[in-house]
Amino acid sequence: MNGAVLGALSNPDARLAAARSRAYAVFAELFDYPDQELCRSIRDGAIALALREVLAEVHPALAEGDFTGLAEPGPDDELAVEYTRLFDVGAGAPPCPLYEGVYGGARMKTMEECVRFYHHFGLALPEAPRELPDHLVTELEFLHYLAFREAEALEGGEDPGAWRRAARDFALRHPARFLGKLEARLARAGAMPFFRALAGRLAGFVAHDAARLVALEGPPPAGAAAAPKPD
Amino acid sequence: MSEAGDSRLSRRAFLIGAGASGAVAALGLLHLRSRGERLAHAPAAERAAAPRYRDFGDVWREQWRWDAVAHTSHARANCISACSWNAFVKAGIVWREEQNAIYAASEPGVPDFNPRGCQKGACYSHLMYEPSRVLHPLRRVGPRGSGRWKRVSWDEALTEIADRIIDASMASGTGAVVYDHGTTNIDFGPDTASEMRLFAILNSTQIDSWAGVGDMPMGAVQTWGLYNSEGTSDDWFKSDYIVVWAGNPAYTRIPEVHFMHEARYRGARLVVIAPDYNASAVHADTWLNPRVGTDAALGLAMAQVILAEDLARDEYLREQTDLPILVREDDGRYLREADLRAGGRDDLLWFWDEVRDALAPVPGCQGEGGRSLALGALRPALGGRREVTLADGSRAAVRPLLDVLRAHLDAACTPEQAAAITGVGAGTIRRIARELAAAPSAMIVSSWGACKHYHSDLNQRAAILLMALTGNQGRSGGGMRIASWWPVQGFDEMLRDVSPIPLGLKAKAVWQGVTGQLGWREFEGLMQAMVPRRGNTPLMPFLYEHAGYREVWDRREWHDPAVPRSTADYLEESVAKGWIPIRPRRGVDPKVFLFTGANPLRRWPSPQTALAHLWPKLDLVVDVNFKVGTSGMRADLILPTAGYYERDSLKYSQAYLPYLVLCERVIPPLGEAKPEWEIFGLLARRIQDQATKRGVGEVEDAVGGRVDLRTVYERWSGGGRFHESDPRGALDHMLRRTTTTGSKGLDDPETRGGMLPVVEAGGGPDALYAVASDFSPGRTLYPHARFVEGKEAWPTLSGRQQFLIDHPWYEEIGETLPVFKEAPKAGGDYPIRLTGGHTRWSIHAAWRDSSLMLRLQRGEPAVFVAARDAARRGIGDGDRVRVRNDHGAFEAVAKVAASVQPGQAVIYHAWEPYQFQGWRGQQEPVPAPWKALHLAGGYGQVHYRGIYGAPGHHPRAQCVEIERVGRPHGEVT
Repeated sequence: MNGAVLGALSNPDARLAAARSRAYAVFAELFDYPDQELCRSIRDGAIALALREVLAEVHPALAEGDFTGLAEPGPDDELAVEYTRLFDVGAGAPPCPLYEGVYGGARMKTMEECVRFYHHFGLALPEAPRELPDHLVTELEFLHYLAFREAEALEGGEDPGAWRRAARDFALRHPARFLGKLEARLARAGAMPFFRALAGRLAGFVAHDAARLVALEGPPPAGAAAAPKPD
Repeated sequence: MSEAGDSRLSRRAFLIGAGASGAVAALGLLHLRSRGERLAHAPAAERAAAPRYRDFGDVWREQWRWDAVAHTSHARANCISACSWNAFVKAGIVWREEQNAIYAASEPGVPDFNPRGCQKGACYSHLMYEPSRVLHPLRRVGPRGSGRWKRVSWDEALTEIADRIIDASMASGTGAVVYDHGTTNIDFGPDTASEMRLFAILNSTQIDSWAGVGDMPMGAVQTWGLYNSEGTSDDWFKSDYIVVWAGNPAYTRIPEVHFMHEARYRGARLVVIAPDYNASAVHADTWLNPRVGTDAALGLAMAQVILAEDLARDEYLREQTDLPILVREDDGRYLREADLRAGGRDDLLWFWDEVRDALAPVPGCQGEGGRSLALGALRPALGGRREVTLADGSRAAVRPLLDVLRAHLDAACTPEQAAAITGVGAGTIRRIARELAAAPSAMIVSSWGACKHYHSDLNQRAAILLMALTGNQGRSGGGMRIASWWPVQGFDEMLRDVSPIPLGLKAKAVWQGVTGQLGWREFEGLMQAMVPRRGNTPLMPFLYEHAGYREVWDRREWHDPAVPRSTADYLEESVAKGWIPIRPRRGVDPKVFLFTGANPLRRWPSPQTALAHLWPKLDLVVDVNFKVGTSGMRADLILPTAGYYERDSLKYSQAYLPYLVLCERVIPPLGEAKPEWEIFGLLARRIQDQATKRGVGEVEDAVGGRVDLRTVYERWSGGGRFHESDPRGALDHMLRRTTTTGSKGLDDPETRGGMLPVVEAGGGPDALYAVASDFSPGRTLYPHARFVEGKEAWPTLSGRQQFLIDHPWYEEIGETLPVFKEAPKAGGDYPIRLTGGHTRWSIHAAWRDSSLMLRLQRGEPAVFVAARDAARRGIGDGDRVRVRNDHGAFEAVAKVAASVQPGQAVIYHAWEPYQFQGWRGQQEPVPAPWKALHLAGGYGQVHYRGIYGAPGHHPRAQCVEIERVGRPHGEVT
């Protein structure tokens, strides 16, 4: 962890923000490359349970439905093999890249805006980046961070508006833009149920989160949800 | 467990067990970090206010400041050009690049080299971030080609490779380990040095792909004993008559071609000879469109005109060519000393000296000592029949070769005869020949693209003949221009240090170099001496022997009908006589195949043959690359390399530009990628460690010598001088050892400009810089001045540009003199000749899937079909067509093109097979038979040299039929 932990929160809105932060972190974890430990946690149901619980905490409707797909990593290394097939390597490109910019045709502009968001809020890619700024996991970590800071602000009695508006805009302009396309590609690629279920849950969660933030902070300015213009 | 791994476990533990810890939220950032602001939670009073944020416009309003604007390039892009770029860096990412256009003009009145750089270089920042990039070592877990992979650690990957190499070496010697860098995927920096050092130390099988990629100008080797013939591209500006022959520099020499166009402003004429109206032809004053593969007929007819109309430059012919050398009428061979005296030399040739009216030995020929071709008081006759007394007392009639050549051309190569063959009018042929002969300086630009036909050597011999007859070879703005390189001594030294050449031979070479005794012939001797000692093997014999191509290439009907024996016969004889090596030696199967940047299943002819016959023999296939291509998808392990901007290296150095271009690391490698310097250093270390651990010591190498696997890393590291973690140190060392650029290291202010000007390059013999001209800063460079101005003997049997090759095989096949031969019907008796060429939108396959480049063309493999051929077959523009012959087929979209000659179809180079239906790529109907003649050796300049002078890949002019199979994307008829 990065040394930042929030204990018991008295403010219910802060608790909700903390749950949202955890939810983004769980999704980031699950869209990262699965090691054996993660597969065990998936197989024994801990991950599905954690995700269901945190989504329920955000909103009960998000926890409805079948979570069994999220407890089926397949035998042995199958989840890692499937991850690699879907997201890492393929003829020319993997069938379902996790890079947002690949889906919108404005790759560099997409990455630039991500970096601008990260920098604006005090973050940066590591010195030796493991992944690019428009990788889904990087984007989810950023939303996890914004929600964490929102919880912190709420608990401290501060204005959470900046964090919320940033999360609203970033969610709409980035993951929300391509998660639907990613789901479609996963279906076309015959992805194993785990990843299809995961992408579906994430798309639902991001849509819900963005809608709630819009309700709280108002709609983004005209054009805010539009994609960056092509390079 | 790495730090990142620990953090991840910690985050995961929290996420799964949040309730139990009492915490409700915790920051777990693995892909992001703080820019300096706090991450830890703090009480509100201690926290800074949230950043101001109203909407996303705020993030765009902040000024975007580059972290760095740094010089770099594309070191292993396999591109002929070398261009320095400014990379714009922020947040560890290169966002865009601009040309680093600070090149000086060579001399007043000549245009400069600026700006240099094409659209591929300008979008590498995009390419390196495309999803084709591979970021982690990958291990195949399903059948080959199944697409089932798993990430593995570097440790696992390297251990597996090391163990397989050791296993194969123990069983069959290091010959069973095959390394292929695909020629110009190399750089001249530490990365290529690293891998070449390792495989030289192992003395494993090392594929010599120079000819194997179809880049070997055998006609030049046959005529000059050299292939190198190029200078700085600004020397083109000085030409008065530029002929682009079988090339398309508007596509393939983008940073250089402006010199041709600028030459026109000072009155030069530009002639383009190509069957199709290509992008270079649109700039031409004259475009000649001979039928595909008939170039030699055109060239020889022009030569006939020049001789018949007495337009040749006789004094040049007397001194610089074999045309005055006496040839016997009875057998068509040179008159030799052995003919005249019992026990005489077989390599001492003769003129008829008009001054003394007597025989005179040819100065500079091999048997004469071969140093200088200066005639002194001699005046060799260029014509006339004479009789000489032979050693047995009999009399023989002899003539200067020029007489023989005249008769040969008059009989079969008149413009009218050529017109019937080529389709170019006789009047046009005469006009171009006269213009060429009259031009103060004339040049033929005919580079590697002109090496890809079965009879390319004959085309080249004809073209060089034109340059010799007109006295242009070796002159500024003149001569046949193919390619050349600057010497990079630091790079050479990295390879020489570990070369398996005996110390005595190395010492001799050094001594000869120091004392000035290393002449062209001594150097040829050294190169020949290396052949039996090194694991180098030319690609075509390797494929023939080990990859199942025997059946393909033994089909006599796909070869020149004048060839009396099978390829198998010629190969047997060549191997038996030690002319050509085959590694691994017969009886040993290849077991480990490792390629770096190369893409053999895209590049090789008939890749389906290799896949069916070679791949099953291989225990391990390793692809070392920054992206995954067709061959990588068929590999067992993929090792991710650093992108071009993520490494410290040196672009390889074609002589076009009088600078060496640095390729410096401006960002760290993404993911787990590593530069090859580190990868192969680690592999060397792992081989040594595993061999020691397993108790394995010496094993047999590829040539029957011994190599100790326990000292591999020790040798790779130069006894500790180099370390795999320090490529920059290695680059600095190499630059300081490079006198070409003044031995300047990385800290030199000039180096900081991203490129180093060439300050000296001697024109002596060199494996790369065999251009035979001394470079002088402040002057343009042109090739072969040492021969023409310095009167050094050419490294040929005759010591001259040699147009008669009286080798028994050449006699048997009917190619002692340059002749025209119709291209064989490779692939079957079909009416359309499939040609190709490098495209404007890719450098080999590397940019073939670039989303930006695909926008500029059809976006998928396209075959250009002549309008008349298309109409006859009911093919419309955009239809899907099948291109087929007796060997294979592929499907592509048709582009109906008025620019393409009827009877020709063009598919540009290097689409990936995976971009075609069923992964059946454009090389499937390309059996590409090669000339067994190129296995010949044992004669003057005709021999294999370890890196060049071998049979090549001839994919052009294969015979095909084209048929419509449907509309694009679905509608099948």
